[in-house]
Amino acid sequence: MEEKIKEKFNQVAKRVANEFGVVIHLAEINGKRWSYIGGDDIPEELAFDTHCLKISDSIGTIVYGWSNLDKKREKDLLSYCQQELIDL
Amino acid sequence: MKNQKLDIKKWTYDRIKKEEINRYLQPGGKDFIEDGLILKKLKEAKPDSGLVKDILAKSLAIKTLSLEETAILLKVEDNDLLSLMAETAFKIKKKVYDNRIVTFAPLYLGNFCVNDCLYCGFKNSNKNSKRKVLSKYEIESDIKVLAGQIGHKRLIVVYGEHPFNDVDYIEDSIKTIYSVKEKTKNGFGQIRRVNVNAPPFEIADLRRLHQVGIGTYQVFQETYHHDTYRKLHPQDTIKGDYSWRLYCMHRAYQAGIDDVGIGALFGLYDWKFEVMGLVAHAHELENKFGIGPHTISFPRLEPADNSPYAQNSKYQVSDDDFKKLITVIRLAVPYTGLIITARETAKMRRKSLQLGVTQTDASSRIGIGGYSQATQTQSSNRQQFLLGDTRSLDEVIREFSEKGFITSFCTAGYRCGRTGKCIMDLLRSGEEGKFCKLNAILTFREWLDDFASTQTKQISQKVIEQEIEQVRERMPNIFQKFIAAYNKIKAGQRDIYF
Repeated sequence: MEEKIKEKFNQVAKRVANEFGVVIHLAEINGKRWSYIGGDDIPEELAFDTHCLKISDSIGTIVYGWSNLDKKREKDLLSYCQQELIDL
Repeated sequence: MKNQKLDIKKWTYDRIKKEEINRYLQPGGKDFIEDGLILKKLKEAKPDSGLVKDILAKSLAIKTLSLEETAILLKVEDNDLLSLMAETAFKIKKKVYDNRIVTFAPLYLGNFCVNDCLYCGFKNSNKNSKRKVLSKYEIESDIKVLAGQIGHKRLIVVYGEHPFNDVDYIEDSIKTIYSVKEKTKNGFGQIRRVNVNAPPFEIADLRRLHQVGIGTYQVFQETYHHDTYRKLHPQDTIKGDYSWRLYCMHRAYQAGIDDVGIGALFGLYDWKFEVMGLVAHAHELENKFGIGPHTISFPRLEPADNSPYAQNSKYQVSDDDFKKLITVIRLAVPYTGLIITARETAKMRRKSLQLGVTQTDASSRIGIGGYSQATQTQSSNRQQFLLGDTRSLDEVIREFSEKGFITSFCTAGYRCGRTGKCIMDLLRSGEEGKFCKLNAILTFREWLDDFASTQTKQISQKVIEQEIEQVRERMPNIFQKFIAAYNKIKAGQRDIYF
């Protein structure tokens, strides 16, 4: 991952962790494949609670701790990620 | 015909992009396989018992071995030490992959080839070979059998190097494979992961393979020994360029493909040298990209139509040496998946599971269009080689279950971002094994309910129950969520994964 993108994503991931209590990984989407691009280690307590959140046709985030969010927070997270990550 | 030949010549001429080799070469224009150094290390290695035990401890900590350490293991002759190596290899397999075996099917889509490898039945000069490339309709027919009748979820699709099998064809064929949905008892049978064994491509073409959503990109170097490579692959063919092939995984990573499979064809040159070559290749990928090979394959040379070299090679690998090389590869690159195919006999495949193999095929047909055709006999002029094990998936799985292995049809990781560096870290730490354990049970349940014979289902039930009990004991925090998913699968829902 390019340093610039990495830096930007890390900032977003940090804010998401603080505001939503979930960990996100960045992925590139190609067909069925979601290829890991970046993100920190997955905390064990969140590891099996995942959701693939599509940001655009080509990128998405893997959200660890998804069930911690209610419907509104799910929407808020998607909006926030789209706003911050769609241009990566 | 003449025009077609000219076109093929032009096509061949344009394939190799020298700048996509040179950028990776070491100073002085050398590649990373140093034959002299490998031979020296093999010559100087002394398998002292204490040293061997230290090396085994390093393997058990899931650390890649150095070339020196690998050479020492390759030189071990003492029976007690060999037994200890085999035991440790199996312990590593259990630690990283537990008792799971991933199954897949090979699918050959074409046997046209512009190359002329001395040992291969598909070589261009073999006029005895019946050539064919599958149409979209024929691919669909094969997939309907594979996914709808046999129950495979994962393929390795094999392409020859030829304009008929160019990147446009590969791209279209993968889209076709992913699109087929065949009605089964509960929902649909579908191929969920397409791994690709294809020629080395340039970066732009590799990017297209990445974009179509392939699983693993697999290219075997065949032999890492430069002189042997030159002798077996005529220099006026694409495959004659050692470096173009050697650096294709570098180009793949650059194109975004982060799951790659390497391999060597054992029997072309000294097997110990080839193991060292594979380990050197793994080091190079780890050092340059931080991601080692997702899988390593080690096929043995088999008789092939009109290819005397395959019958007469002085480097044929004995069964004992073959077992040893599997053991050493497991120890040297402990995180990687190891693949054994139906080239080998059932007996050898059985033994290999105890040495650390993690993936295998079954119900395999390697003739072009072999799955949808009624005939089940092998035909040497339509296949690259002859298979040693033609048992059905049901039979193979029944045997795995009898021996306490669970068959996994899991394809979850690459669909939820556990790829590349992420999966490498998870494999080394043992964390990926937890995901795999849950997904193995869920996918095995699916397969048993949709495709298994009554006998196989009965025998496998015990394995499923044991696995569920282990999840309850080892992962109490996730158990309720897991069992809810399991019950949904039992009730007929499909493709639920962690």
